[in-house]
Amino acid sequence: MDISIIAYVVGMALSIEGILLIIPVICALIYGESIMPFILTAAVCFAVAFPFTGVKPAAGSLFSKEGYVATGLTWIGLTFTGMLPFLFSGSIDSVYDAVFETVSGYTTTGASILTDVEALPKGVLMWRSFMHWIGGMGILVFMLALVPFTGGTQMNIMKAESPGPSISKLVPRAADSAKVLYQLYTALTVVTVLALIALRMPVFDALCITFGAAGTGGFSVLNSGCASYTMAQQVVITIAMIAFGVNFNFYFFLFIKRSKLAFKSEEVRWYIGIILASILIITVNICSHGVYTSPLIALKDAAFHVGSIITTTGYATTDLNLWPNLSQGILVLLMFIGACAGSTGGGLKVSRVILLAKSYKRELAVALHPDIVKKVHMDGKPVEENVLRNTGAYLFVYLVIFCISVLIVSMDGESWVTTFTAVAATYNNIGPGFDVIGSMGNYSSLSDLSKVVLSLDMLIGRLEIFPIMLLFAKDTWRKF
Amino acid sequence: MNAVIVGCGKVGTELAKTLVNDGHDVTVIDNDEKALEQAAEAIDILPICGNGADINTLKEADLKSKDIFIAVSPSDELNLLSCVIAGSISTAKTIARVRNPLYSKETEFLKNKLGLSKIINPEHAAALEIYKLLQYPALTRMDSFANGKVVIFTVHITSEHPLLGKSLQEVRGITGSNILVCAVERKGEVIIPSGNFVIEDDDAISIVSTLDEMKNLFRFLKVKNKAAQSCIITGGGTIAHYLTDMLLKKGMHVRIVEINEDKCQKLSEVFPEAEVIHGDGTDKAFLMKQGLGKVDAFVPLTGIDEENIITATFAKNVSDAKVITKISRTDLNDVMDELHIDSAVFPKFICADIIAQYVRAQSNGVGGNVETLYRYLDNRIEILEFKAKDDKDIVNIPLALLGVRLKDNMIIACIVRDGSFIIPSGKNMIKENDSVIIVTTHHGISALHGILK
Repeated sequence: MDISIIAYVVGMALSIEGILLIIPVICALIYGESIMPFILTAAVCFAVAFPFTGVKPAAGSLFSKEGYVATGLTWIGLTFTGMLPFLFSGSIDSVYDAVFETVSGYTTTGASILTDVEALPKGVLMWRSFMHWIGGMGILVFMLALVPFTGGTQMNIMKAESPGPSISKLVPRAADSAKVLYQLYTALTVVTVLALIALRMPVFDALCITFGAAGTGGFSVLNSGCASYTMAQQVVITIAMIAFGVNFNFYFFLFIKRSKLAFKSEEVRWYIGIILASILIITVNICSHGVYTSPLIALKDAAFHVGSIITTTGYATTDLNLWPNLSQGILVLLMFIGACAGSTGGGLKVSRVILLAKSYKRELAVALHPDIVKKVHMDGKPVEENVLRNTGAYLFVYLVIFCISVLIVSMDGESWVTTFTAVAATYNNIGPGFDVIGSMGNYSSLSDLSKVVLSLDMLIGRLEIFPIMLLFAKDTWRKF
Repeated sequence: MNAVIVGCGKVGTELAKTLVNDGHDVTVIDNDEKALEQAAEAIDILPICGNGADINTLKEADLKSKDIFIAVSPSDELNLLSCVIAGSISTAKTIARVRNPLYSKETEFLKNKLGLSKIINPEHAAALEIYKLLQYPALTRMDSFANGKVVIFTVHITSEHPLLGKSLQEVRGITGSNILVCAVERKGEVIIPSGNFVIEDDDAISIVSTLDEMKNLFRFLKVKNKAAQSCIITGGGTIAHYLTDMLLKKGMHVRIVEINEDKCQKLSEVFPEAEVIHGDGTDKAFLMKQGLGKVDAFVPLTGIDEENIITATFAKNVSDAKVITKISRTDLNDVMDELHIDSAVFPKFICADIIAQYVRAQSNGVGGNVETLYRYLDNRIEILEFKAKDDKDIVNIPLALLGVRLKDNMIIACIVRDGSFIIPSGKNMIKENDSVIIVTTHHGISALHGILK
């Protein structure tokens, strides 16, 4: 294991975080607030990063092990520096709460411990939402786009940070791939911001809400969530959320005018299919239960929340606790399915669900004809056996961690719905769950232990288990 | 430039590394997913799994946006076919590796009829390199520029060497020959020396001169340099085939030891003048029986690197023969330096060098294109030949003035004008249409203008 390259990567990521703090600084200046919390945080970032980035490591020393460890450590480092503005500004007093809020920000979860969001300084709110934007596509991918690395080993970072069962480059060079991703990401973000501003949303809200939708985070800037925005604004937010949950390869292929390839993606088609089916069932369900009188409003809210939950954003326009059981059940299922691989969303990812479903279908065939030789196909191509194996193992570890977390959080004595959905909503990076931590509630009443467990769940969920779990494995730290 | 490489074997990987380091974007196609994964782990390439002659795979690789298409899979036929298909659906320049001696006679015909830009035959190139070294057994490596008028070669300095302790300014006077020392390898480091550089024990100095001047220098150094007259080759593969052909034409005495009887039969059909021996070319006693003790040159060319190295070491011990070893693997070149077995030839490197040279020549650079490219000392220095164009920043400027504007670690080794060889001094200047030879530790220079700061 090469510590120097890991230190270099972590140091570089922290330096970039320090530079990105310029965004909340500008915001604070506009609103005449103190910029000291951010300046101090940036100073801490640079001070920590400085000794790490001094020595340029030898080329080609970044293997997959180093990639995972560097990614895990970077995200932990980001958490402890990213929470400083909350503490320095006095917005959050408890360190546990600050960690929870920051992890929730970077992992694009959007679960909050704040009871009165509107009381926070605008600069801090901006930072809170901007963390979503950085965390959505990933700070290390951003670093790859900016910092030249030698050797072909950058892919090991990208693989560790980007979600999905198999990560591929869009263009031959990893750095160019990272650039393309961020260009698409920025372009989609700008379009959304402009659309919201055109619909007369205040610029500050438009920026924060877009950062949340783009990163599929879900921090809002009003106590009422998204309820007080107009119908048109909510529709734009719905479309934006669903758009950011699509695999970015899709946009790349559209961009280079190879739409045939783009629409060939089975994952995108399933994703759209699941969304449409869910919206339909929920609309009928909430109308027939008399929660809504106007079918149009019901359709809008159903679409908004299906989009919000499946992409793991977590914005809300209404109190979901009032919805009938079937609708709630569908939303909980969507929490686990999650968005597409290679998007900014969390959850298991649609492509994994497809692979698991197809593996099951294959097992059925094997049960019927024990000697059958059958390959699983995806997008018209056979899937490598090791991807299938990895997906199966992933599901197992995923469930084990989920169960352990539920057991620990259940010690708080909250209702089962609260306990179960708290873990589901943080682990899958959604944000609000049901009951106490529902769309109009928050996580402040949970114990510190639960907050720590849920914070870890958020990190594990965002980085897809391995980068964090490997930090705790003895073999990782062996020299040989 | 955007390049596609078909074949992710040793040559494909080496080539991908070279092109990526030169700043090109590279996509590699192979149907071995594992090999691709390993290559992509080490080199910044886009791997695509599929058959290089499959039109869908080529479309997936987005061939339309590519400038260059290189097929180096193990199969000649696949290489030719994929180049033909690539040529028909894109405007990319196509290069195929074709090794079979049967096709090699029709290289030009195939190239023109199939519309390829270039056909490369690394086995033939390797045979040619061995052939050249057999003409000058004193050298460990020799390359030529400007259509063979200029050569670059390496001399090892031992204790009691006449050049030991001399500065480079003195060398020309002492030896009475018009030569230039352009690079020195000392204790694993590569130095591009200036005039007051002093030669020390155990240096390996690379020299640029003409063939005649080189012979002059050898006379002064009292180096025996008689072209080999007889040669033992072990292993009757493709390189042996090409080499035997060249050596026989030169009238040399060639003895080929091959273990496979069928191959022996074939060889003796093709080369009636050669002595084809059926036997184990790694058996010491057998080799001695074939006259290893008295032969002028020994060239192990079997398919197994380890056997070649071991028999080469053995031959060095029992005879004065010039030993030239073929090494297929690309990761052994630094080990070879420590083994002291005269010369080694790496067909895979030769192939990668030829293609890298072609790609650089395509980049249509300012000031003049790359005509020839050699990489020396583990690719740490590059020796490039440019054809000077009318570029006011370069031509007609006295080198004393031009010199200060050159990048560091870069020298203008020589200028060839109308067939005459000039070791440049401060008064000389580069004229249009000169061949200019540059030695540098910089990588990826594709135009003469690139030598300036």
